Amino acid sequence: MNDEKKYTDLIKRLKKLQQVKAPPNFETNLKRKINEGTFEEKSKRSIKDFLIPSRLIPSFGLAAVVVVVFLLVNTTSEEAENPFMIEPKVREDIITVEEVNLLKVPDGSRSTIIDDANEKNNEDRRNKELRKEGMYGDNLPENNIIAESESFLPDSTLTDKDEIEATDDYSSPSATGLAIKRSGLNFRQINPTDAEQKEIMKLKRKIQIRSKKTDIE
Amino acid sequence: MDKNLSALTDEELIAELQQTNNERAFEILVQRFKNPLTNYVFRFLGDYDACTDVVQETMIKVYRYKDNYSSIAKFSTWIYTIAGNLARTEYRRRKRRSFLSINDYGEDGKSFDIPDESYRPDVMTDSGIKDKLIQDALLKVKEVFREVVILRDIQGLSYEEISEITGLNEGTVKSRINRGRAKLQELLKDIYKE
Repeated sequence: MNDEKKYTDLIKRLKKLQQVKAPPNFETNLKRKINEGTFEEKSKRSIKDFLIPSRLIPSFGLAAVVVVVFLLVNTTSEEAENPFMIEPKVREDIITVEEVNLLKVPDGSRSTIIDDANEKNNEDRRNKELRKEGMYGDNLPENNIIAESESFLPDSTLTDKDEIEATDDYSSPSATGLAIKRSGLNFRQINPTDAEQKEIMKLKRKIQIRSKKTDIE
Repeated sequence: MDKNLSALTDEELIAELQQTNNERAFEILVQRFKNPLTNYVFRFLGDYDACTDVVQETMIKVYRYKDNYSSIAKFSTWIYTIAGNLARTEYRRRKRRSFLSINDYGEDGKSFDIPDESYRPDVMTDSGIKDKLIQDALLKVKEVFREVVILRDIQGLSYEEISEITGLNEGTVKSRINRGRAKLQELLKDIYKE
């Protein structure tokens, strides 16, 4: 109310402003516009009937986006495996050395432990020398280790000592933890029958006879 | 029949239009509101042609969406709300257009038509000079303050009605009116010194 008193002059001036009136042809123009408008509305409705209702457009768009995203996710999931499901690769070239836990040993027993270790080292050295000389044969202590490791291998046929010897040429199975058997190699294996073996022997003899003859000549 | 309709209130007339689609009821409503709305919209826009178009558009909307009116609100409030919304839209559109036309000025030798304003109320006679000055000052007041000042001090509506038309609470309406008045007084101080 106080504010109105403050601006009384201004309010009076504003109220005295001449009233602006609508043009005389206002009603006729209005009627014309209304008639045109109703015609427009009808024609618009008839076109709209053939089109998709505008209210459904957003939902259609959303559905399309969902389908696209689903397809994208689906295709990528086939290519890329879940990293948590992949089995770790075994790298045989890396030899890990476990940490040695140092234990406190009483002074009296320390000398006996050192003696045992020295004994073991000497035994290993001796075994190596014997293997080099070819004296050890099948009774080599490493073979015992191989025999033990065989029991863990899935193929139970690997009990033949000959096969184990064949693997010995490459590397010690105890070092790798795996033994390679003949049947596992990618060679063509021929098992001749008795008749075939006889023929082979005949041919060998013939070759030997011929070679002897040629030597004499 | 016509006599009876003329005696009806605005709310009764719109109800008649809703129920029986009686075009005479609509004509009476147009006769009642065409001048107040023209005055309101003209004071807000400052352009008579644009104001006539806005008022006609308001009447068309009333006719088309007559069923949307509910008797909870006063008919005058409803029609002023429609006119106000349309006037605001037109004002912003014209603002944008004027900005673009300023940018285009002088390009490619474009010519600008000077409209014939001899019949227009904003450029009438000597008695209208003061009105013209007030109108110019009004147009300098911010849109939000101008609207409420016009509704209150020129159209003579109550705070409650203005609050309903603008969708603001009465406190905001009052403060906006005061700020609009203060700005207007400041602008008119120099004019009335002469």
